[in-house]
Amino acid sequence: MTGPVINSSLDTQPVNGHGAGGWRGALRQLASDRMGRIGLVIVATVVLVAVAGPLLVPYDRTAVAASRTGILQSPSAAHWLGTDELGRDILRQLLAGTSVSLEIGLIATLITVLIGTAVGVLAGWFTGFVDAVLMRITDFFLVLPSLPLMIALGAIIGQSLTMIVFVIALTSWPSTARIVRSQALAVREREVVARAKTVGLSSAGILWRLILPGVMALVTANAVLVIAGSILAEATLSFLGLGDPTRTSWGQMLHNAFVTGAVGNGYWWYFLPPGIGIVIVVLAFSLVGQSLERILDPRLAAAA
Amino acid sequence: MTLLRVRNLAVTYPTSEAMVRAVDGIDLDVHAGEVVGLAGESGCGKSTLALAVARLLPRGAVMSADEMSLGGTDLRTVADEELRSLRWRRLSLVFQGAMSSFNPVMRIGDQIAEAIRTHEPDSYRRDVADRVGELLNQVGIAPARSEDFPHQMSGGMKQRAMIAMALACRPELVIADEPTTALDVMTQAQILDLIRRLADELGLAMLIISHDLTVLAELCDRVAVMYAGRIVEIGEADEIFGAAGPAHPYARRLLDCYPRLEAGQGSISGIAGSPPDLARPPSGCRFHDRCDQVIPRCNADDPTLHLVPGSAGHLAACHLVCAAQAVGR
Amino acid sequence: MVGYVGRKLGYLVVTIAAVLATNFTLFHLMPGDPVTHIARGQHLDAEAVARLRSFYGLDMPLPSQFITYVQNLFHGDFGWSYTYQTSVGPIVAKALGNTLILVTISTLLVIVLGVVIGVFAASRRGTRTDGGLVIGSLVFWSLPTFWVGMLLIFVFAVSLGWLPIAGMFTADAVYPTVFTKIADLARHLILPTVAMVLVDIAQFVLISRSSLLAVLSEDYMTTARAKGLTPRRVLWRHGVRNALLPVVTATSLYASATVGGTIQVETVFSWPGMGQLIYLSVVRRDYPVMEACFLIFAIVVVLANFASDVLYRLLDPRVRLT
Repeated sequence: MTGPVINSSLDTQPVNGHGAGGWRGALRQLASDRMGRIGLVIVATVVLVAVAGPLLVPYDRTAVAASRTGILQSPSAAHWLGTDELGRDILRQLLAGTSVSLEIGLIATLITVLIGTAVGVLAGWFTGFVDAVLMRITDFFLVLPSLPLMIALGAIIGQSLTMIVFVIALTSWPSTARIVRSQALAVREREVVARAKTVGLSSAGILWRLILPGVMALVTANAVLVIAGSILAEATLSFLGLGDPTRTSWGQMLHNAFVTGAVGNGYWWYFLPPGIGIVIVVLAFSLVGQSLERILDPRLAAAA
Repeated sequence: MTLLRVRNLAVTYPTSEAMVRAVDGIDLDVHAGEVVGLAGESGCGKSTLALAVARLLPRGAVMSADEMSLGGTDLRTVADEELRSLRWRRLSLVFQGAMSSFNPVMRIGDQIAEAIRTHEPDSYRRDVADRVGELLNQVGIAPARSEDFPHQMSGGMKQRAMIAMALACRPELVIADEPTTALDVMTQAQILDLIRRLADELGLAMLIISHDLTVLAELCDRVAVMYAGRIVEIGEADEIFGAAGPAHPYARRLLDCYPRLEAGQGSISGIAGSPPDLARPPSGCRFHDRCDQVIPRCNADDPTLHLVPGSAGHLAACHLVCAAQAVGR
Repeated sequence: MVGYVGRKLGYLVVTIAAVLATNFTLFHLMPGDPVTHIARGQHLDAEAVARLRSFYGLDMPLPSQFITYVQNLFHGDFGWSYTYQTSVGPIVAKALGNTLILVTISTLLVIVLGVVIGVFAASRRGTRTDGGLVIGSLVFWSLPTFWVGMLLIFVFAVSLGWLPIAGMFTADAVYPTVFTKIADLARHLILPTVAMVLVDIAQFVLISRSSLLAVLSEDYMTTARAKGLTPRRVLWRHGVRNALLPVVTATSLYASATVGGTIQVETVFSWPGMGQLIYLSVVRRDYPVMEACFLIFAIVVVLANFASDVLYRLLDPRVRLT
């Protein structure tokens, strides 16, 4: 619409890969974006609950009901969210589950990001044969349907939260790797890298000082979304009976609710709260993640 | 006979900070069979003007005009259905960057045929196909290439196909926005020849928009120069590109940007500074901060178009040129 | 084009081979071979264990185990189920049929509704409708599928009593005609389908919306309008037709997600399909069934990817002819 400006898609961004202002700038932009702000607030609240909850309102697994009348009670003054099939307070379980669900999500994400970034950066930097091999492996894992794989591994390895973390990471790293790889390829083409090479910086040096920081922004945005996905995955696996029955996660609570027939019998206080908790946390991380993606990836911002 | 009459056209875009008047009070006439050129730097509003006339402004743009008519039709108030009907049939466009002006998943021939069939829905397939072949031939493309997809054609060929498509419904007026930009010099020359030939043969009225004055010098009967949303000079091409050159300082500097074969080893100059922020236009003449002939009056008084002394129809908006003239339009 | 399909087919074969190998590795090499599990439950002595191992062919070297395994597969022999005490093949086949009924309908709905809603949102870009649809999509994406199922059962089956709680047919029902049988099936199909659609549709809404938004700002859209085409034709023939390409790419990711959704929904609704089958096989540690389910799921997803690749090629002339 204006004159003959040739639209250049060559990126003229600073080396650190995201918009002006660095990390603080990104954070500020995040806070100014309505959805991002809401997400951040919720995440902060949830983290607070996860940390403070068990301290203020501790949950004792062994505090079972003394008699039959204590079990599966609907909400009352004594138990704000009622009791489960063993008479245990559901509100306390809910609060205790917050930290478990978050913990799993975070650890799984950490591993996913480590593997995915490593593979993506190496593939994007070395290209050629290394890239081809790594991408074939990545694509193969991408093609394998994640839930059946996680179920199969879970059944074989055995129930435990460690197993859950492991299988989530195993099925999540490929998509991170792909994203990191494209970004690494883009960073590789930047002038800064060519100059660094002429100056004599070693491959390892370039990788560490230029490529890695260049992909960090996108990795962060992706990581937040991976957290959301991991929490959902843990909930699903625990619900299907692959979780650790001795540790209360929201998914585990839902599993217990389901096998106790809470749905069929209408014990809404049992299966509603954990599900709502999951939705809120996952939504919050998704909001933040999508916001970050919009801020840090200029191509997405144009289309939003 | 005046085909296109525009009086006091203004287009405003709301941006996050302020309202930007991209076109600020333009008067323009295009007569039947005449080729008019519109020149200016990027961002001066030339493309906006074209889009405004064709009623293709993006959402949010606000347009106003005292008059804007094509033949007998008032383009400001015409109903949607009539507008769609007159589109392409009476007024067609050739867009800049034909690279992306074609739908990438549709064959070129089909896209041209689509234009024809929209306005002549009862035509037979065979007739339409023949017409498409003829049109392509006219612009120097083998008719068999109508089966091609856009990505299979070169830039120059796509531009020619765009021109063919623009002529598909035998319009009265064709607006060409930067028809030769983004093409290499050789191809540019070919396209210019083509346009000139077609305009002559078909008796088309054209409005050609370009930042390249040399292009306009070749093609146009009359030329207007735009700056910061206003027309600052308008007149016969012979007068503006003649010995005396343009009257307005900006137009002179613009012409100086392009080397001329006869001028010998002259130096090419740019114009220092940059166009004003149209959200906050400066007081007085909009060019005064970049003008090398500025006088005190220029800061305070915004000049309007006046007749250049000694001419008949050559207008310029500059205090220096038309100092004491009070002749209206 | 033919060359491309040929290459992709070759790649497909290799991938399936890799899937078979992975399957074999998972279920035959991982800790916990089937005999140990059986033995654990039945307190067998060493000799019985040895005979069992021989019966299952576990005393042969690994490569020949793999070859036997593949050969068996080609003969339709998927092994012997511990719990059902019958050949795995027919069990899986029947379950697959039931799953296909559910998946076909929900996939069609997801894609069609998702694209239509996405296009609608894009055409109302910037309005509150659009904003609402985007946020709504994000919310729906955050819902665990199994939990949505539970909610639906609670509201519509338990509280309101409008629809059946679980299963594919009413238990012990007698159907005077085929139509009453289909009607019963349809009633049972509603909630599971809604559960599957609600969560997965979000992805398609978001993708088709952003894809169409990107297309809307392209130059050829202005050209189309300038030609005097009706707004509907401009939107669909020029806009959506181009915006569909990323959506087709998305369907390959969707295949994997659908499998996850199927497992959850079938478990919650006790729908007798592959999803429930694999869930029950986990509960009962019936490895042959689990293995067969995993294999089928993996192969279906691989095939879906292949189909979507080919479809993309067909739709985008820019890559079709290279």
